[in-house]
Amino acid sequence: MNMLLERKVTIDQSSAPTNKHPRPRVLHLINNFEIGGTERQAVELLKRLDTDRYDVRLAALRNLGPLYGEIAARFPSVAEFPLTSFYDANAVRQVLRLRSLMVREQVDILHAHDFYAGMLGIPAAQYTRVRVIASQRHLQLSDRRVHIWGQRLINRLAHRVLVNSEAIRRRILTTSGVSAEKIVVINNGLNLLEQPPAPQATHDELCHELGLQPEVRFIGIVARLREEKGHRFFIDAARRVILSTDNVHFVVVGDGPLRHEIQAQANRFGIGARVHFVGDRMDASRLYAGFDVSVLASLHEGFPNAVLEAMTAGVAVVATAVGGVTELIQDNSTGYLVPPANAEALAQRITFALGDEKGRAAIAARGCEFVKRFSMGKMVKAVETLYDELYTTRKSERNCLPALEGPVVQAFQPDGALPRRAKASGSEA
Amino acid sequence: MCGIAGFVRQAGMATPPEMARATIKQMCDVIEHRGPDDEGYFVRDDVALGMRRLSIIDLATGRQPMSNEDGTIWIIFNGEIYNHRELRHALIKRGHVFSTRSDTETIVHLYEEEGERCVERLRGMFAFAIWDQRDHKLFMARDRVGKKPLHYAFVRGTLIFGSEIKSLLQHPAMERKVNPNAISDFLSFGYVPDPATAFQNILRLPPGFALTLKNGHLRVYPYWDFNYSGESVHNPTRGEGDYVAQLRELIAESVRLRLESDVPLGAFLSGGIDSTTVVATMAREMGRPVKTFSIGFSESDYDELAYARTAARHFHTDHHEFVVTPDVCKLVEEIVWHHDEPFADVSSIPTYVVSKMAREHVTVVLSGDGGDELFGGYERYLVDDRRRGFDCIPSVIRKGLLRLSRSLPQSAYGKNFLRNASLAAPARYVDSLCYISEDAKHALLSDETRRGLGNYNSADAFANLFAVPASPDPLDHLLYLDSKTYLPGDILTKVDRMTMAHSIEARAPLLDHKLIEFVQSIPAGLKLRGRETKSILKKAVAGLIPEEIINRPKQGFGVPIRKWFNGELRELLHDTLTDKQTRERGLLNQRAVLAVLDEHRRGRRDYAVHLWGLLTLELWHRGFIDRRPCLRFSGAKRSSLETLAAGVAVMPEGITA
Repeated sequence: MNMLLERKVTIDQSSAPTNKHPRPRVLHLINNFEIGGTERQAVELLKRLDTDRYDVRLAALRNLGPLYGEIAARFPSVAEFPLTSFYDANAVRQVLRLRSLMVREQVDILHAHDFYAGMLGIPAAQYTRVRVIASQRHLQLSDRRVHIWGQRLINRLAHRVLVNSEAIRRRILTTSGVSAEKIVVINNGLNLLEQPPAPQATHDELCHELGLQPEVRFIGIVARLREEKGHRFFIDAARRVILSTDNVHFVVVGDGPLRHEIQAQANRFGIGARVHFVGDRMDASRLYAGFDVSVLASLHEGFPNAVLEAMTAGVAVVATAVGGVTELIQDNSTGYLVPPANAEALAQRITFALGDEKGRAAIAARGCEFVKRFSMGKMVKAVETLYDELYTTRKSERNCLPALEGPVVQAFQPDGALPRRAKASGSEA
Repeated sequence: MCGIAGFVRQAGMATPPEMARATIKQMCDVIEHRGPDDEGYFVRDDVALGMRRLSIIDLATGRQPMSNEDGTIWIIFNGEIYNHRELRHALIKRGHVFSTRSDTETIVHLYEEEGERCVERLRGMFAFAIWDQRDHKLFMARDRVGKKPLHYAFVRGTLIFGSEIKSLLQHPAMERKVNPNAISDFLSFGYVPDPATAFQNILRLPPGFALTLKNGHLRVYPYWDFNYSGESVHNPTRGEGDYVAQLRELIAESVRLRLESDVPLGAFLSGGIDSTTVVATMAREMGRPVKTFSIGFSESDYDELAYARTAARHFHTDHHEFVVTPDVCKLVEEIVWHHDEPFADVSSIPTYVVSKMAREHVTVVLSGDGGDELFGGYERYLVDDRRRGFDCIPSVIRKGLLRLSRSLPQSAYGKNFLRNASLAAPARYVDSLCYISEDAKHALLSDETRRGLGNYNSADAFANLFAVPASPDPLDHLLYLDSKTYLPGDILTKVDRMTMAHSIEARAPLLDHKLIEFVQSIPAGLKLRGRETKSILKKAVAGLIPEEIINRPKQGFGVPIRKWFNGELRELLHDTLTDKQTRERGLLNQRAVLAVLDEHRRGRRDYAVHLWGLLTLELWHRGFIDRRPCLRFSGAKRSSLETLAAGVAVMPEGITA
């Protein structure tokens, strides 16, 4: 009886909204599921989107990487569009495949999570009714022309550009002709429900794992080992810190193409025994609590999760003042800021923070308080609102097509029109 | 000849020993070009000494760091001691046991015997550091005229030192900060005068100075100075003939001393009096053809090769000449990297290329450097002589002239002459030395930079030196000034860095200190006679070198930089001086820079020297202060010889004119 009732309720729930309000069909497109900030945010979003209100589908360029495991139950099938180059026949084939999938399945909204998804999704959605949400989560992916111009193209043709910091919004506005209304800022969400682990216990665990005495102090960096993350400056800063501070060790969490180079650098500096490379860790967000100071050494950033997570864990952060970092950290208030690519300044700030126990604790506490505003629920809600808005304007536009004289005003609203119309209305205004 | 580096930490500062070893190795690795043959380190407690060796004498056992018999004294040494055999004999007599036949070991035992005063006995070029374990003392010294460099910084209780600044920058306690006064000095003189460097905290040990560090106390003191103060040495009973004879003898001795080498040896031959004199003496002393190297430019009006060829034929040398093609632009970055500091003397370019060429054949070269400062060879001595008449202009009128000159636009003809005439003697000489006049510099600097400089005036340091009563004779006075400033700051810096960039050792026989002390005693009237410069030298070498070289007109500026700036180098110059990075730096007044660029481009004024200075200044900032490119620039990106120049002509031995 109970079971019956339950089933009935379930059926009711799923069908009721469908009847009242058809579920927008949203296709998520992502490069892959490797460990990274963008992928992490996408997965957290996919976990939480209200499937009663949205018909969520998932596609990837490649279904690779450990993060997929967290959502496999929810999305048992993932369509793959293996792109190997922008300039070959396969690229055209993949675009056409994606296009026919979206047309066949009557997708309403394509949510592209990164640059490569955008490069695939944007052409595929041309001349269809699919509305595209593109994402830009870096100020600049690289100096390569294809990345700079590709991103501009994506931003121009997408219906909405989702960015995760004011800094990126400003960059887009100052470097391209994308209209301000198209850019939506939704800050990264943080999993605040999870209780951050106890600092002392994590510290001791880390000591144990690395075979060190419990009185050592840890300076940690959590980032992919890539050029733009500035590890070389971190290592250079490390030897400067060691010069003036005893018992300090450095923990490098993450993996990447530069791992060997950075390890070699540490050995060349003669500090190999003080710098610990622990590789990729699924429990990275836990490790922060074990650090005395967490460092972000990036040369450019969007809205770094590493800073958010460290602040949540109640650890003082020394970060380079790039991109969205300045929206999170005010120097000497919620953290410490240093100029990018400057090992000397970084070392000075770390040394200062280590020496000022009290000040550091106060800063960590303020930082922890500050990041409470970035909850996962808020992020998900904002994305859902974006879907709703895109869906309704899409519907109204579809409605207005046969009777143009009717809701013209609505159709010409700057935020609602198709790209071409948006352009027309933009130029009139 | 080598590169040295090291540091002495404050007792009690605990740095992991492996880090000390890594640091000293890095400090030496970055100057590998100074000594590609070997490396050696001494690390103990709070001392680290390191060196890169270019093997020249005692190839097998001359390894460094080297110690005395019981390992209580350790030395790292860069240079050559030409009287080391003589010293060695005396030391052996006194019971010292030598384990090598190198000049390095001589210094160690001499230090044991005489302490810090050992430096007074050394004849040659040197920069060395001695760690005295018994006394816990560091002793460093630099040669009398400044042929070998030595830089140091005293930060947070650590003394860090090295042949080149780039070594010091490898040490984790160092910070890269620009010294704004030095930038002002650089724009005035084209180099940063001793003891400052372009970096805050980093100093250069001046020539003829020694340094000790003991118990955290640093002492820097002079042990030798040029002495033109005349009366005691000027002997009225000696005639010109006596001076000429002795001069000849001393030049021959200086050259002969510098022929000792276990590796091939040659000479730079420019075709001027100085280098030809050196080659002539070598030809006489060596008994086999001298390998000579010359450089010219494909722009024919700058071609000095003809004179060099004349000399080469005359002395039957094994002559190699080289023509720099405009492709030389690729060099600019390399040259800036090797200088460590902004450096505006364009003759770096030919010196760099000729060193590269010579290195294919020899490891040691003799050069004629220093002749102009010693014997009074520069045109400006004549100019000063003429303008000395301005001294009698009343100061009121002078002030008026100055105001008049200031009111004229930057590009007006006669402006510089008016200004120069309006100045008092010291300021006038400084003004005539300057690459960029005080007024022009004022216009080029941004408001912010000028504010940062405050009351600092680059001419002041010179004015102080000018006030030293070096000699009652005006010419000797100027020679003293130049020997203390331009010679070590510009000429010798250029020669050391550009030759060492290619691991080749340059020796300057005309700057032997015995020779210098003698020439100082020659009355000034015999050096500058009427309109004739270097008169006494010309007399001494008459008959030794061809007449046409003695009588050739003095050629000033030998590098066709102006043409390059209008052609090959134009894009690099324009882009570097006007792009975003330069503008954001805010060092210069961008409008003034654009005006200079524009006037140069239109050919209205020749601003090539200014522009070269500004270009190297900006490239230096990028390479050394903005860290990002510097990291990628981990060493000299050496261009291959073929890309730099063309037309290597080897002249067969025995060709006669």
